[in-house]
Amino acid sequence: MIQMTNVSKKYMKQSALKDISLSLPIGKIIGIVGENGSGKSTLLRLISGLSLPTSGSVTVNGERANRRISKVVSYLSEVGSFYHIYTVKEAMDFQASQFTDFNMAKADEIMKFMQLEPDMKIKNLSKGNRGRLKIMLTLAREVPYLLMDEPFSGLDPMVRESIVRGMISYVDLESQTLIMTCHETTEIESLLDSFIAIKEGSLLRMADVEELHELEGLSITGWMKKNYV
Amino acid sequence: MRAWAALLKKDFKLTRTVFFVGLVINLLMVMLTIYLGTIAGNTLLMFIPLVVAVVFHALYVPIIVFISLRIEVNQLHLWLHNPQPASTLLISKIVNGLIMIVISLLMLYVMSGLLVIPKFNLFEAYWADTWISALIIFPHIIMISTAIGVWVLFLWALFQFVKNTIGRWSWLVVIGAVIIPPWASALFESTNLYRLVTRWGNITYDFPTFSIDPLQTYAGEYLYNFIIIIGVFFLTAWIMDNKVEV
Repeated sequence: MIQMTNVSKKYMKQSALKDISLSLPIGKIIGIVGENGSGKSTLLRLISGLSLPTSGSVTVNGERANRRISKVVSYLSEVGSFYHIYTVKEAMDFQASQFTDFNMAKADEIMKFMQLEPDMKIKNLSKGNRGRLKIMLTLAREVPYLLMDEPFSGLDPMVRESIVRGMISYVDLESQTLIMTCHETTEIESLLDSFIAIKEGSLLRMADVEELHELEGLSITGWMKKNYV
Repeated sequence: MRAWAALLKKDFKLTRTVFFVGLVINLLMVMLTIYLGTIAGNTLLMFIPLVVAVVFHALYVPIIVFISLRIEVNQLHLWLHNPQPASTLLISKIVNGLIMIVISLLMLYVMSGLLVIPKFNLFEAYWADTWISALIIFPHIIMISTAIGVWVLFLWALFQFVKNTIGRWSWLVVIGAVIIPPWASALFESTNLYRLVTRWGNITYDFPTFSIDPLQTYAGEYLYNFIIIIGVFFLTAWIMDNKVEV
C-alpha cells in the first residue's frame, strides 16, 4: 500500500503539491492526469523517494519513502535515457546486478516485443527506442509498484497503441500496481482501473474509471474537459 | 558484491576517456623530459616535468570523481534510484579513482626509472635518498588525492542538497564549505588538545644527501586525518540518502 498523508511539496517558494492525501492499493492500473505543471511528475517522484515532501508523509508498504525505497518501487523517469556507455544487453545486465528482482527472462521477452536488439548501443538509439528501453528496464522488475512518468512520450503514434497494450500484459495485477502519467489520456483510458486528477498541485479527484463511466457517463477526457477548462 | 562490482565497472566506463587522456599526458611529459635532456644537457632540471606530473596527481582522484559526478547529474534519477546505500555508490567512485591514479603513477614511475638509468651518474651521490623519497611520495600523493576526492563528493552532495532549498545562493554555501573547514582545522591544529591527541608514533623522514632538515610527522596525525576523511565520507553518504532530491 502506498500512503500519502497531507503531503505538500515546495521548490523554494513555488508550491508543486498541496496537502495531498491518498492510498494506493496493490493490483491496480492507475493513471495520473492533469495539466502541464500540475504536479503529476512530482507526485511520482515523491512515491519513488527521489523527492522528499516539504510536509506530510509518504510511505510505501509502511516504510518512509526515500531513495532506497527503490527496493520495492521501479521508477521510469520522463527525462533522460539510460547510461549511454552501454548496449541494450549491458543495460539489462547492469539492472540485474543492482536489482535482485530484475527478471532477465521477462526482460528478454519485453526486449523482443519492443523490437530492440541486444547489441544496439544506447547512444545510437532513436528517441522512440530509448523510450522502449526504459519501459523494458522498468517492467522487467518484479516489484509491487511500477511508476512510469510519461512512458509513451517519444513513441511513434502508429505503434503506441500496440506498445501500450503489450506493456500492460507484462504487469502482474495479482501482485503489482502500475501508476503512470500520460498526456494522451484517451490512449490509456481503457486500461485504467482508477485515475488521480491533479490541478494546480491539489488533488481534484481520485476515482475508479468504471464508476465515472457508470455514474456520470463520462470518459476521463470528458470529465477533464468539464473540470479543467 | 556483484552489485558493487557492476557499479565500479560502470564508473570506470564513465571516466575511462579521462583516464586514457591522462596516460597520454604522462607520455607527453616523458617526451618533454627527453627533449629537455637533449637541450639542457646532463642536469637534473630535465626531470622537472616528471616531478610536476607526479605532484599534479594530487588532483587526479578529485578530477575523476568530479567528472563522474558531472555525468551522473545529467541522469541523477538513474544513479539514485538504487537500493544500495549511498556509501556503496560513493565508494565505487573513490575506488575507481584510486585504481586509475595507481596505474597512472606506476606508469610515470616506470617511465621515470627507464629515463633515470642512462642518467644514473646524475643521481649517484643521492641515489638512496632519491628512491626512498620517491617511495614515500607515492602513497602520500594517493592519500592526499583521495582525501580531496572525498571533499569533492561532500561539496557536490551539499550543493545538490541546498540548490533545491536556497537556489542561486547554493554556491555561497559551497564556497563557505570550502573555506570554513580548513580554517577551523588550522585553528584546532594550533591547540594543545590537537598536539595531545596526535603527537604519538613519531615518524622521521630523513634525507641527508638532500641538504634539508629531517621531516617530522606522527602516526597520530595520519590517524586524525583518516578519521576526518571517514567522517566527511559518511556525512556525504547521509546527505545523499536523506537530503538529495531529483
